[in-house]
Amino acid sequence: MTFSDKRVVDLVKDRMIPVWESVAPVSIAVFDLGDGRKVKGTMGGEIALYFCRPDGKVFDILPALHSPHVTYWAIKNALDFYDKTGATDPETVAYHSARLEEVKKSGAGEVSPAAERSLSKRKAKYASSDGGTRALVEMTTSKTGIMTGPEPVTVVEPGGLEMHKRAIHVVMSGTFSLLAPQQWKDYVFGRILQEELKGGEFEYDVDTLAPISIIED
Amino acid sequence: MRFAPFLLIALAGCSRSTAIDRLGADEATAREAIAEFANRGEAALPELRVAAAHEDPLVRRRAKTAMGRITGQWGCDRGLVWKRSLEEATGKGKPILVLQLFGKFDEEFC
Repeated sequence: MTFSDKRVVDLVKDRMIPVWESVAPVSIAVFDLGDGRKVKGTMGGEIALYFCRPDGKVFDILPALHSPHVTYWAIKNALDFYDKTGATDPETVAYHSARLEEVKKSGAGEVSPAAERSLSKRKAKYASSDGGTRALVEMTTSKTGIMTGPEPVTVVEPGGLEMHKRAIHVVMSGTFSLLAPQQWKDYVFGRILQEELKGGEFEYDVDTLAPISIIED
Repeated sequence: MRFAPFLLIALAGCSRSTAIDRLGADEATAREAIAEFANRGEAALPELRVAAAHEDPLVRRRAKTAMGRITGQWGCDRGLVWKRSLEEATGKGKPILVLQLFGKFDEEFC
């Protein structure tokens, strides 16, 4: 877990004030297997990290869950930028404009044809499946919390770092005044992470599940 | 006879279970124990760290819940204490890290 990692924890503890905000209840899918057996999993629990000035205005964003290593360096870079510039509004816009030019030149964060094919295939599957199958696909392709006795096991598949960073540079280079994290959440979760801000517990009948290929999906 | 009050106090002390014992008891008793730990704040963390490694999974889970109430992060006590709102963190002269997530960071399955 990223926020149990010593390097990340030490850096945050020394230099920042950590805050968490819930954007929606967690989504929980329950599959009743009969005979009192149930499989329960959490779905699509994306996160976003916002780097803010002491007045609470966001100067950089890291969408999605990443490894402790990636998260550490994102925090470190944000702090270096803050130390050098104070993350004033004009400095922040200039920073993101310059980074955007760099990624455009290098091609970093562009959606590859293979990624586009994979995304459209996944969307098509979503459109044609029942709720239970969609939940199962979601559990197998993003974050999965599986009840295996008294302790949960969480499997996370991170990805999309450069794509997300590019999207942030695009939007923040065109910002006129910096905003608070709450003002960003719809954009970050809805547009960048493509995740609806809704949750709750849903119970599905296993008989409705369509066969899926975990490797392919 | 004149020792009776002392005997009663001693017996009461023996029968009183520890907060960790109560974490493994029924729901209502455990809730009280969790609240007791939470009220003690960070001073309760060493005891909860021990309880989080208890052989009973129920005690482990409830100890982690109590840790979450104190640190803002379920089951974790690495020294980070999370604020629950941006307002609590602004104007303190330090940059702020905001984690937005589904569910609550101080609860299981967030």
